[in-house]
Amino acid sequence: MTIIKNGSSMVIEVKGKLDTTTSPQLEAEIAKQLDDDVRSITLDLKDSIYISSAGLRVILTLEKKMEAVGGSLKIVNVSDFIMEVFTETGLSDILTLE
Amino acid sequence: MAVKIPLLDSNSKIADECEFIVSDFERYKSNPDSKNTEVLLKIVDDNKDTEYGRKLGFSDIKDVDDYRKSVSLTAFDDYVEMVYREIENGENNLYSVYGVCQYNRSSGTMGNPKKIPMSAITMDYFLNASGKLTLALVRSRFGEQAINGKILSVAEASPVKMINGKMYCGLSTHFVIKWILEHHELYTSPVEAIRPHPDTNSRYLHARYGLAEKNVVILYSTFSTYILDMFHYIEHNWEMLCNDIEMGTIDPSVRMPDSVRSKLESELKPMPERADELRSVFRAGFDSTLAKRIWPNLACINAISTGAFSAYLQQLRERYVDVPVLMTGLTASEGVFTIPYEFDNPLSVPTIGSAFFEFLPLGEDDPTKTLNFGQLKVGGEYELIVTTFSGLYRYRTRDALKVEGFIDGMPKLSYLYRMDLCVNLNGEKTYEPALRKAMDDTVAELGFRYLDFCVYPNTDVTPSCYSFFIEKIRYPKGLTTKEIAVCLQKNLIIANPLLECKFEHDLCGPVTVNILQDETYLLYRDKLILQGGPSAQVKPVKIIMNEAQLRFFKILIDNSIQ
Repeated sequence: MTIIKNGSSMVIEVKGKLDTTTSPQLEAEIAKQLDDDVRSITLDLKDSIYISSAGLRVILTLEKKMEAVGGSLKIVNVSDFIMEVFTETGLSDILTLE
Repeated sequence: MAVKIPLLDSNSKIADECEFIVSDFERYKSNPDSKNTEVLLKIVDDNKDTEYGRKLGFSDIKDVDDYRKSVSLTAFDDYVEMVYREIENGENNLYSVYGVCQYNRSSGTMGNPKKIPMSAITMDYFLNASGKLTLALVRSRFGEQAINGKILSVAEASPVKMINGKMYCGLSTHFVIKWILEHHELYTSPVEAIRPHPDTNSRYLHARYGLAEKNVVILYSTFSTYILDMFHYIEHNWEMLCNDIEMGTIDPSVRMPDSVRSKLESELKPMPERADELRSVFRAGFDSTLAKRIWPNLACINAISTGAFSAYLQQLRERYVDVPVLMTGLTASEGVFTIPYEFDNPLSVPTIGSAFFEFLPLGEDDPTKTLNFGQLKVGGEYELIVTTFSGLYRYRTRDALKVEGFIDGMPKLSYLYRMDLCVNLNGEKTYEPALRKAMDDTVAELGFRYLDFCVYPNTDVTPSCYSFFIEKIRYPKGLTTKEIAVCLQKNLIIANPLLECKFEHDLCGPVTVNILQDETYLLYRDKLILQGGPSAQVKPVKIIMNEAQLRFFKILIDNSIQ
């Protein structure tokens, strides 16, 4: 993964799989870099091939965090395969997806 | 400076307050029908001038038989219009003179929550029959010193809406706000964990503050799932937790608003001795003695641990804590109807005086055929019907209970199942306990372990079939879902013999099994909480009841396991 911070914005690029093994790593990295100045996060899934339940939970936690500070989380470059997961789990009603 | 009342004095006073529940049981156990009738006639007389009471002729009702003939069995739908008028128009005395202190949001099986009115009288019974009664029973069983300590509660208040000036929230949330927050000095968790900001890792706070306090006597939660969750968290994070306890800090990686962090850190003190003590405990390993090594005075767990939650209790006992368990009785959004009377005993007894109780034999629908206490039989299975101090009359709880015995004339009841929840493809009606028994027998034979499971009554195929979705903990190499399905089908027939001919005659297709991805059940809970559900009342799915649930679980199948 790559995290790029620019003032109040942050872009997180996820590569490969987001599963039981890689999700805690992502969560720890985000916790390290996220500070109170960040008001907008873009999660770029361009190079992401798969998200499991564990990965979805990390994303939900991030959504909750941004909502709490009046910020926003946007998930972009969602492949059809991953979009189906968001839709079928009902998370597309909660998250902002492009 | 305020005088600090010792814990024992506070807890003893609280235990004394609910003595009336115990004394009512003692007084009426030989003839519960006498008190039961007294309660009914009072409710009917008090409400005779309400719109509902006038419509049904309450003023003419002189005894239980009159009541049964005049009033049909009811469900929430019968009250919806009156509740609506009460909320939207501020009308009162429609169905109850007792008023409404809050509307309980029920968890609902079809995703459509109900607003169940609760009066101050019913709420008072609830408060007395839950936390206070636990203290009284612990004191009675283990002695006065057993309540000379703190309670580690993982219960949390969920978001509260106001409707017509009344709180609208889960029943557990009211308990947390009204009781735990008002007495938070008796609990280990800080207020910031009991009523957490959405961005707060409250699991960390419950664990950290709980571990720091050596003198914990009771572990409490609504459901045992949350206590198991906390221990899992401790197991995976004990080093960080011990470091924080030693230094009097909160690790920067723990998520919470800065304002919460600074307030808590300003109050925390370094506890190096306690931290060292805990490190020794954790380095010695995780087993059923763990909790007593952490908290030597721990007397019991108090949580719903029967039925669908028994698997979670088993995991708790195997890995973390082996102390007596005080199950809760039958507590619903409509009231608290039964209470526990013994540790490690899933049976409970009616909360005599809290409502008017009737028992409808299972399979019976004639509203005049409900039974009194004196007509119950050992082995009899009944639906509980209640008339409450919150304006519910001959209300069908849809909870099936079984009489397992008597204490004098008071029935000892076991909870069978929720009558709305069953798989019924061809009239065979397989309820949740049978599904669980089939699962438990299957895992015992095949040597795998599951966290939880649910069943979809799959009518998308012909013939329709039972489709299981299982989240595993331990899964032997080489075991196939086909093998699990075959074993499960055999055990389903044992659990519900009506299924045998259904399978034989192709009325039910072969059982199918899908293994879910890890953390699916946690994700489901997180999603519901984020959508505004009361966190203390989110129950794991056992029978998939709607399309949204089906789609959720189907998409999260672990396709690497065939």
